[in-house]
Amino acid sequence: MFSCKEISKLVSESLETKLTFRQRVELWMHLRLCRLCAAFRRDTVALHRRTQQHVAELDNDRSVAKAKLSSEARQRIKQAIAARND
Amino acid sequence: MDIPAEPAPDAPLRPADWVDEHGDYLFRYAVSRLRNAEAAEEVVQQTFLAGLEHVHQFSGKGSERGWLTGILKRKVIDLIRVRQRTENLIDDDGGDPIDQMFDRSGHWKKSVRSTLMQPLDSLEREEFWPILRQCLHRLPANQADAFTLREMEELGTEEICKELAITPSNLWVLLHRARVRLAQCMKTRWNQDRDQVDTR
Repeated sequence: MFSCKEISKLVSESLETKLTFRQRVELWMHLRLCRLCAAFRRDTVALHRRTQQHVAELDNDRSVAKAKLSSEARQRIKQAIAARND
Repeated sequence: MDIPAEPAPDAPLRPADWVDEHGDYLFRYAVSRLRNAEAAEEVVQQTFLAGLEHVHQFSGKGSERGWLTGILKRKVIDLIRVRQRTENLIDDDGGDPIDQMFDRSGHWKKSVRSTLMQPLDSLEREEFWPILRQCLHRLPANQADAFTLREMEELGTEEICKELAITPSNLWVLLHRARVRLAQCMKTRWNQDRDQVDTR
């Protein structure tokens, strides 16, 4: 029998690699019986999916994140470009 | 191959406008991956300067922004690789907080159970990123970087292992710890923010 700690590791690894047959059986049986580990798996999948969603929004410039270059950095970078562009 | 030596006339590069056109976008991209504003400003500058040096390699086919983002992506990964190599790669000191979430027999501790049962997925869209960012800050840098390369840059296992000079099992340990701690941290922060009736 795997402990919850080991099961949480299998849950994470299942996102990285194909688990062995035995690992998959252990995981499936454990998750059916243990609602805490089932909750952990639900969170792991949610974290994965929502992070990807966030990144897609960020990359399409539709993000709620509105961080901007500081005006000092903006000036400094413009000067660096102008100096190099001459 | 018909890659033009000069930018195509309909898609010229305009370095003088880069900062105004793409500066904030590239900064957001970089700071979301690097978790540090100064480092992000630095790679944005490096990206523009590298772009200037390689203007003749721009095929004119994609967008200017897409081309600059490709350069930035590489710069971000390089910076993560360099800073990882100057730090301890695996924190095997045994004091990892993940151990505080399980008891000796490897069961979830009572103190984390109620938080665990609360679904992370019910976080609002606007809440998600600020809370994830705060929680990434609280992770050891190597765990946060592994998570970023895997879940944000979507690099494959082999590539991350090569960049960070670690083995796949090291990487899985880092990702496992990062995921357990992030989920827990995010729900805890979320409850705190709600309790404080904070309107940031």
